[in-house]
Amino acid sequence: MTELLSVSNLRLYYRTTKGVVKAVDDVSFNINRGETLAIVGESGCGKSSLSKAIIRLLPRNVHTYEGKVLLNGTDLMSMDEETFRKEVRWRKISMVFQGALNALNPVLKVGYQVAEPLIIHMGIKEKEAIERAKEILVKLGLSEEFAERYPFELSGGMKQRAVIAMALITSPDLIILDEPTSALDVITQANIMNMLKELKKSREQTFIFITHDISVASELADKVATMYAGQIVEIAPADTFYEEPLHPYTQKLMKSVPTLRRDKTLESIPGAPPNLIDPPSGCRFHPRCERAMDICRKEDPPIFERGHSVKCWLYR
Amino acid sequence: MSVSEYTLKGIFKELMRYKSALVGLAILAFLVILSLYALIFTPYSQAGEIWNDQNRWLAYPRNAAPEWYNFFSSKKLPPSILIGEGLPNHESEEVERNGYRVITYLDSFTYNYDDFPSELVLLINTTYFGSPPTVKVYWVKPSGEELNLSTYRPRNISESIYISNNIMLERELEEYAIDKLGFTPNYTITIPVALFMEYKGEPTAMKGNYKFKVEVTLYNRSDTFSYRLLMHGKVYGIAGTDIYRRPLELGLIWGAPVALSFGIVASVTITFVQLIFAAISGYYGGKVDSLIQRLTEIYMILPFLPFVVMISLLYGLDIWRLLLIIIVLSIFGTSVKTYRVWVMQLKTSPYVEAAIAYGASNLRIITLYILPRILPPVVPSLVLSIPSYVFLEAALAILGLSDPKVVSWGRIIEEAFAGGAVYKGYYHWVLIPSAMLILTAISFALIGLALDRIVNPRLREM
Repeated sequence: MTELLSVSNLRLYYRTTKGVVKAVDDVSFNINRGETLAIVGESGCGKSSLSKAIIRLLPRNVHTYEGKVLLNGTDLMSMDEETFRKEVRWRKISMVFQGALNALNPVLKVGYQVAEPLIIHMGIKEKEAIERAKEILVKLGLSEEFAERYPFELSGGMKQRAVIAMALITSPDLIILDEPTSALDVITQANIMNMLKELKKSREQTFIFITHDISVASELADKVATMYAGQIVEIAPADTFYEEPLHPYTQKLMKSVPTLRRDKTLESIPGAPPNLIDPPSGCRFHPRCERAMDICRKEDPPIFERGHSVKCWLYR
Repeated sequence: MSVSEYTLKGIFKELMRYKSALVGLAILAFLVILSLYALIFTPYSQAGEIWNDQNRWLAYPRNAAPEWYNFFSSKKLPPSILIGEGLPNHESEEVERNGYRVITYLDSFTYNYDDFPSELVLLINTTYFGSPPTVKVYWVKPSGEELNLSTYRPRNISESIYISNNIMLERELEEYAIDKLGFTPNYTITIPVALFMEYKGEPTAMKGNYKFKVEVTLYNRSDTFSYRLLMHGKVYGIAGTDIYRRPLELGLIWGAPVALSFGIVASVTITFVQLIFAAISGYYGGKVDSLIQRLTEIYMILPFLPFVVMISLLYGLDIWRLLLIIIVLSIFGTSVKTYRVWVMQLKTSPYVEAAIAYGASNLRIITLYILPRILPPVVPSLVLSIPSYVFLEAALAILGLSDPKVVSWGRIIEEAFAGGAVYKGYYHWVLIPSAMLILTAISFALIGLALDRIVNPRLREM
C-alpha cells in the first residue's frame, strides 16, 4: 500500500482576544491509499481544526500555521492560496462538513450544487455536469428527480447524501468526513455508513473520518487516532484500538460508550477538557488522569511505540 | 421561511394576496401607462421644447380650472366656446352695396354658465387686393340689446384680434353698463363681463341665446374672408391650465416618465452599488473593509442637500447629470453598513464555508451564494426608497434647480409658486402635480410594505 497523505508536526494556532488558542499542536500521522483513518475525541479537542488545516480552510485570526503536509509526495504547505484552491481543493481533497445539513446553498438546486465542483474545476459544461451529478446521486440512492429540487425540499439524510455526492463528484484522492452522521437519526446513520463502506470497497476511497462517536468510527476505520487537547495521543489499527487501547484517555473513552441492554454504569471523565490557550504543563491529560505520575506533570511525553504509537509516560 | 417564496414568481404570487399591494400595483400600472403614452406620442426630447414654446398654447385659456371643478361648485364656470366658420349655427348673407360685396354673418349660441369667459379672440383669415376688408362686429344679448364691438381692418392673411383687450371699447361698454345699471358696481366691468352680464349688483352672467354678428365689406371681387370667435373659458381639461395657457394635463403626462425613471434609476443604482460595496467590504474584510467603512462614515457626515444645491448651482446641471451627482453622493450611504453586517453573517454560514472548501472563486461566492440571500430583504427597501428620489427631484426643482428643458412635476409646482398660484387662488396648479407626487409615493409605499411583509420573516403573518 502506498502512502497517500503524510502530515508531520502540523500546527494551527488561532489568535483571540484572550490569547493564542493552540487548536492543533504538533500533529503527525500518515494514511495509505484506500485506508480510512478515524479521528476521535471530545468536542473542542481540535478535530475539526485539524481537518481545516489539511484542506487549508483557515479563519482570518490564524496565528501560526506550519508543519508539513505531503499529498502523494507533493508539498501542500508551500503552495500559494490560488494554486491550492485550483489544484488541491476538491480535485485532490474534498470534504463533507460538520453540520452538512446546512452546507447546501438554499437558493441553488441540488443537482446544480452537486455539479458545481465539476463546473468550477474541470471546466465541464453545466448540462453535462448536471448529468454526471444525477448519475452520482442515483448511485448514492437518491432518485434523479432530486437534482431538480431545492435543498429545503430534502430530508436530513437526503441532504447528507447530496453533500457526499458533492464530495465524490470530482473523484478526489482523499475525502475528509467531518462528523458526517452526527445530526442524523440512527437508521439514517446506518444507511449512510453502509453507503460509505460500499464506497470504500468499490472505489478504494481514502477517508479521514472525524467523529466524537467511537462506535460509529469502528464501522469504517482501518486506523483510529485519539485526539486530546490539540494533540494526537494514540494511533492504532482499528482492531487493537478497540480491543486493548493503551492511553488512559482512550481507555476512559471506550468505557463511556453505551452498550445496548446491558447493565453497565457509564464512566465519564472527571473535569473538563483543558483550556487550549494555556494547556496544562507536561502531559495535557494529567489533571484528569487517575494514573498520573510526577513526570506527567513536568514533561510532555514523546510518542512511544508499543505495537502502535501512544503518547504516554506509562509506556516509557 | 421557505425558499420557494424567494423566487420572483413566488414573491409575485404572494404579493397578489395583499389588497394594499394590488392597489399599489394598479396605481403603478396607471403611471407606467401614462409614461408610455407620453413617450410614444411625444418623444422625450421634444416635450420640453413644446412646453416652453409659448406660441403653441394661444388657443388655450389662461389660468383655467379643471373641468371637474364645476361638479363641486354651485357657480358654473364656462369652458372655451368656439363659433364661426365651419361650426353649427353659422349663417351668412351676401348683398352688394356701392359696388362692394357686403357679407353679413350671424352666429348664435346658448350660454348657460354663471361666470364669464376670460377672453374673446376673433381669428380672421382673409385674402385681399389693395384695400383690406372692413369688419364691423356686433353683439346681441339674450335680452335683445345690440352692442357695437367696433370696426377692425385686418392687414394680415391670418390675424387674431383680441376684442377683450380693446381699451377704447372697454370704456364705451363700461359706460353703457353703468348707464343700464344706474349705479357704479363694486366689481370691474371688463369686456367679457359687459358682454355677458345681467344688470345686477352682483356679477352674474345672463343665460340664454347670444348672437354674434359680423358685417364685412370686401373691396375686391376675388377677396375672401372667414372668421372664428374664440371665447376662452374658465375651465379646461382634466387638470386646467397655467398662467402661460399650457394645459397642465400634458405637463403631468410628460412629467410621469421623468419622475418614474428618476426615482427608479436613482434607487436601483444606489442600492446595487451599495450592495456591491457592502459585499466587498464584508466579504474581504481587512484593509478594503476599513477603507469602505471610513469612506461611508465620511459620506454620512457630508450634508447631502447643500452639496447637491452647490454643485448644480455651480455647473447648471441638466436633470440626468443631477441624477448622476445624487447617485455619486449616495453610494456610500448608511445602508452599506447594514448590508455589510448581513454579508459578514452569511460569510460564516456553513454553506459558504463549504463553497470555499470546494474551491468556488470569491466572485462566485459573492454573486451566487451571498447576494441572492440578502437580495430579498433589500428589495422592499429599494421599492420604498423610490418615492424619496422622486420627491428629491421635485424638492430640487422647487429650490430652482430644475432643468429648464425638461417638464417635471416639481418644475410645474415651482412655476406655480413663481406665478403666485396660491395667493391668486389657482390651487389646481399646485395641488394636482402635488397629488401626482403623492400618488407615486403611495403606490411604491404600498408595494414596498407588502413586499417587506412577504420577505421579512419578522413581519410575516402567521
